[in-house]
Amino acid sequence: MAALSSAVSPEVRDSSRVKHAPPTVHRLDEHTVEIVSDSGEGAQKCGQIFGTVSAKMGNGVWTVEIIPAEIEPPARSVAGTSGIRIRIGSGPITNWGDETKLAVAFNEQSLLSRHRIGALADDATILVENRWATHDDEAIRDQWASAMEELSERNYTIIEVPMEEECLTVVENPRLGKNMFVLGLLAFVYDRDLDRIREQIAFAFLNKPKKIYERNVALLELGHGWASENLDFQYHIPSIETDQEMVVMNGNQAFAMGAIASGMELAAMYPITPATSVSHYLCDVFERFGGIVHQAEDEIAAIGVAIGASYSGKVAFTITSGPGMALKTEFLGMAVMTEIPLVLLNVQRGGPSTGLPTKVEQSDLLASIFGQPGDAPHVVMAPATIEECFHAPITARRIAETFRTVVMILSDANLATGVQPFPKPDPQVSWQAPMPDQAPVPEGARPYDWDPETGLSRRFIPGQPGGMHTVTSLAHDEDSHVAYDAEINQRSSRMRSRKLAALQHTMSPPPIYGEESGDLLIVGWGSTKGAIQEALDRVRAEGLSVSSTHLSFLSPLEPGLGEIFSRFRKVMTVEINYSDEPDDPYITEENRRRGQLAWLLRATTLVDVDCWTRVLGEPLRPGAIVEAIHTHMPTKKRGKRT
Amino acid sequence: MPSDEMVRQALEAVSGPREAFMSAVKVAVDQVESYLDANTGPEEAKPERAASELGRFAEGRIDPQRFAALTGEHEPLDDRSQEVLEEALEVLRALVKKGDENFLVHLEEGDSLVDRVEAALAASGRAFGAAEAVERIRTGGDAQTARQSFTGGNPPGRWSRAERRLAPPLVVSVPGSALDVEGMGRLLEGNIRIVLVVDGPAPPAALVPLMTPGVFVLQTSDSKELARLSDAAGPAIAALLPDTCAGFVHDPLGGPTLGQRLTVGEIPDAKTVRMLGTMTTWRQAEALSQLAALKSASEAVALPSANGKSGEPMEEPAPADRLAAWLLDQANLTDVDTAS
Amino acid sequence: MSTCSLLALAQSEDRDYERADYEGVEVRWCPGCGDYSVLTATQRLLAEEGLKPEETVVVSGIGCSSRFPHYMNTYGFHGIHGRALTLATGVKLNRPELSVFVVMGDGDCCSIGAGHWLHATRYNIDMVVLLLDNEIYGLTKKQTSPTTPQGYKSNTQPRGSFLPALNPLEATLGITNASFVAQTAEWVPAHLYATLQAAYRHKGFAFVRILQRCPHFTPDIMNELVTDRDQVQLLMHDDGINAPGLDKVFENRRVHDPSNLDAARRLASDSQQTRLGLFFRDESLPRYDDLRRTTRLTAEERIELLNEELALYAV
Ligand SMILES: Cc1ncc(C[n+]2csc(CCOP(=O)(O)OP(=O)(O)O)c2C)c(N)n1
Ligand SMILES: [Mg+2]
Repeated sequence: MAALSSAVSPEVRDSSRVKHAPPTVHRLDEHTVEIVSDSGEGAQKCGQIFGTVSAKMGNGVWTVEIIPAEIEPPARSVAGTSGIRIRIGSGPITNWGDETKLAVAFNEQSLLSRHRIGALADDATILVENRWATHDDEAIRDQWASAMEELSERNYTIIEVPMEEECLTVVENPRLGKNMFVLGLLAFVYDRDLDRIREQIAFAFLNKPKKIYERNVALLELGHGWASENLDFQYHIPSIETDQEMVVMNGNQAFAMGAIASGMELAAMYPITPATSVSHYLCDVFERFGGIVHQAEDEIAAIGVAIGASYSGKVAFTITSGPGMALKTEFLGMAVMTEIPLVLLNVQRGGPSTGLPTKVEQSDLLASIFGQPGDAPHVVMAPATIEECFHAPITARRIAETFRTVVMILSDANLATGVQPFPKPDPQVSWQAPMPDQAPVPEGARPYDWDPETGLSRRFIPGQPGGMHTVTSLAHDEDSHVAYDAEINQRSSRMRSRKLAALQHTMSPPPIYGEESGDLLIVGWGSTKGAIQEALDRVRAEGLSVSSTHLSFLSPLEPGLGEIFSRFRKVMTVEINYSDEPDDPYITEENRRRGQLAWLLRATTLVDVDCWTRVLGEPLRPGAIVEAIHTHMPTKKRGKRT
Repeated sequence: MPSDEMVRQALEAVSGPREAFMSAVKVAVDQVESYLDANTGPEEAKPERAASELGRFAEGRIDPQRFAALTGEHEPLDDRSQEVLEEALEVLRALVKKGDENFLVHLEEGDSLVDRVEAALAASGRAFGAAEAVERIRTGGDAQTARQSFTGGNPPGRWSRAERRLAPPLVVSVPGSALDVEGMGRLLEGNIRIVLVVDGPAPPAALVPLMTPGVFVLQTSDSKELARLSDAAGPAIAALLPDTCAGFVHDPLGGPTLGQRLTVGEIPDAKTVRMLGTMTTWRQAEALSQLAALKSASEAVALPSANGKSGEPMEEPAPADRLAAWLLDQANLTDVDTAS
Repeated sequence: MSTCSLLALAQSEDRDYERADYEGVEVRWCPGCGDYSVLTATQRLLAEEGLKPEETVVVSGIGCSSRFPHYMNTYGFHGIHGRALTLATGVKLNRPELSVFVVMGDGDCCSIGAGHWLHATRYNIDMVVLLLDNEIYGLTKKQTSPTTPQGYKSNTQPRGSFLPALNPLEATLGITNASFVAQTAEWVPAHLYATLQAAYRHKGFAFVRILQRCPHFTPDIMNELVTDRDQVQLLMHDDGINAPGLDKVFENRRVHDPSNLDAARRLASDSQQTRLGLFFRDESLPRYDDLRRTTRLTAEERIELLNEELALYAV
């Protein structure tokens, strides 16, 4: 591939208005593109439309948003870069990949931010707005020059694009249209179907006046026209033909739709990134489904309202992220104690405390399982794909009801904003909870009539004649009477705990990706599945004996892990949370703080589980996992573990 | 022909009770379906059901056989009970399907208002009967007896207090000549809401005989006024009539005195009254003069006792109140104080 | 979601209830505790209003007073400290047809639960809210509460409460959309009953502060109010709370129109005079539970809509 300009330096040639021969077409299995800009310039909308259209054309797609923490960070700042990465492929794409191959930047500072964190491949092609080079403000011209200097460290191909100048031929304020111009560029580069893009623009601006649609389409065509005259390369990524009906959306939306499909009717929440967009979507549609989204005064109230609703009927749910989870703690313990079913979604972000609000992390695992003072056994599960974000609440709702307990779903910022096509779900009546039975309670039935084997019991809800009782957060007996007798506390604790064992008894061991035994087993959970499996494909192609397994249930853990681990010489978790490196100062085998899943697995299986974890505020890159596998392969000397 | 727009506004005015009734029916549909699902079919089908309830996330992870075994055995329904439950479910489903039509009645000249209204309520009332049948079977009752609760209509006279509170509202389009409220009083119970959308010349004070202490009664020519129905507690009836008729509202929540509850607009001249359908001029004139009497009584009691100046609420009633009490007595409105 | 199921209606029988129908487990408050009379009055109210025990939910937090639901034979929710109003909100949003009573102590409502108190008042959801104010933390053994009189000694402020007491009436009346604010005293049963009745009949969030004696920790706090009738002023009005015969007992009376918010705020904030009666009532204010009612769908209707929604995201 070659752009018009082969020189890569601050004196890049202006490529505009040069008519040339048909472009060189590069056929590829997959490709990654990023669009970066100041916040509010619409790079994300552009990328979403591009991603959706690519999915509609049959490509595998994964998109990830690059979100600054502030709403309006200073313009042209490295820290304020906003944008989106889209990875498209011939086959299914399960993660955001490694480095980007093509970058489109609205200014050189956002480009610089991606350059500095190593997001751009060494041979990346870059399309950048060039108005800054000749800007009236000398300071800006200087910034441009020094940025170009810095960028020349790498072998990028930089192509200047007069975005604003071109846009001004169609609109007065190019800030409101550059993104559609860029969409046009990409449509040319990836040979996308313009009609489908127009359709998608119409959908994106559904509630806006028609002239907005028309303006955007004009800009799209302008960008496409400019590219076809000025760019001499195109990427063709053949698409897969499939008869299966597919849908495309992000994980938060998928969760919201899954929650609707489960028949739940009340969501209570307090706004918190990156969970809020679940509620935004629900607020739009839930009432039509007979549902209510209650924005409470804080997270404590939100879970209180959800528990109050669950207590009196169908299971309700609450939506939050780390800091909100912390506030809900006391109520979580109470829901476990009173055995009121509840579904909680935690879209994890970087922590501790306010941490990295818009970035991915998997650091809430142990707090989710063990974070409630007192012994509060409950279920924790983690979807690994956008599709599973849809299906998880359905399963969670059912388990919560049957086991009268809290079911937490741990998603994260990667799944929340990641967009991926998946087979269109086929909603079922059986997924949906009817209102619990309100038949009169038979004489003598007790509100906590624990089955001595499973710990299960049937709840009564208000409205059921003969079932009157007071649920209480205090220790209580089968009648829900406050217990003054110590033995009752032992018994009721046993019953609440037993439910987890009973649930685990119904589960199967997790499937192994790769050989059933070997040198190294990677264990992951949550959103890292795609990246781990892609890394595995690469190292297995190199001939390494590595397999992986991915856990969907963290509490109770899926059964059979000890036996599975015994078939590998070494077991290692890969997670997005913090762990000490073994050779860091002061770190010993005993004081090393490990990845959270590793911690849990060591405790439950007594296997010496190692870990490789990173908290870089971004999803794991398959390439980085490949490297980690290389450095963590067990040495041949050690014998097979028994 | 009353305009569709007026009917629409009348439906809107009773949207609260309409939605409450439909919601209750829909919740019941789901419950009966799920009860039938859980209690019919062979024991071997249980795992399949558990699998489908658990959904796709559980696929390959949770064994439906074991999961189903956790939740215990069920005693399958006998065939007869199942049949009756399915019939009851059909009744409920049919009501869901009928949607807003459940709440609309259209009268022609010569039709009896009370008969048609009662028939419509009896049709919707089958929902209550069907629910009763389900409950009877679920608590081990006999299927045959249960079935009787919903075969045929279930008129309001048979409804329980709780059912009356959830009464389906009705919007009745009626020609003025059929606006004979004789017998309607006994249907005004619980939370019933009836809106009469009247077309053509009509008796000017048709609803006056329906005023009793706890009943909200409204006559108006302004469809916006119908919105007041949503604030009423207890039974309520309203008529949307030509502006040649009297306009008044009796709102039991207005306060303890007649002046606070009753507001009467211009009263048409009794001389303009003509014979309409079964309603003689004399009866229509009687209703008008009763309204006039109530109007003057209400104006007489609307004294400033409510602003608290007297300060002592336990004192003897003022002479005007005593006059009102007498008039109320005449109008069958004696115990206004007890309504709430 | 909007209502109950028809199936639930079908079981309900028409019958009358007596006070005994509402009695729960054996009461374990200290002898002489003011909470007893509130319990009795509530049970009497339920019987007289014919509330079905199974359709009534009493929600509380944690504290001596919060044991209340256990002593009622209704559905009860003895939740966690300070959060009763959030649970009650969930119950009412989900099941508007249930009658909900909330019982809180002064620490429960005015300290740890103060945020919810403010917002629940503004939501104006139809429920009866009883603040059992003994002006002290009872259950945890005599710590200063926000409503403890200035200078009153406790285990946490042994040289006397530092600050003037928080005035719950003034606070509630200051909240936007407050729709019913009354004060009564547990030792004036006729007034207590009439107040509960008015609160129950109010459509909206009916906030009642009940002055409540704690013979164990604060036997002296309300002594004067109890023994000297003149220290208590009765608010009178045709639209107010009118218990038969009380005007004969209380010489100190004052006419107050409960529709007058300014006057209500003035009377409530006057620290020189304790007043019983209805300070404010406005039934025309918006109610969140009313505004949030939706119509339920059947499972099949939901699938149909969901498929339409999914089609928007089809590729
Ligand atoms: C989160 C939490 N903090 C503290 C407590 C301890 N606690 C229980 S009741 C109470 C105060 C009780 O006082 P009040 O609300 O006035 O009720 P009373 O006992 O006086 O009726 C406190 C501090 C608790 N249970 N939970
Ligand atoms: Mg207290």
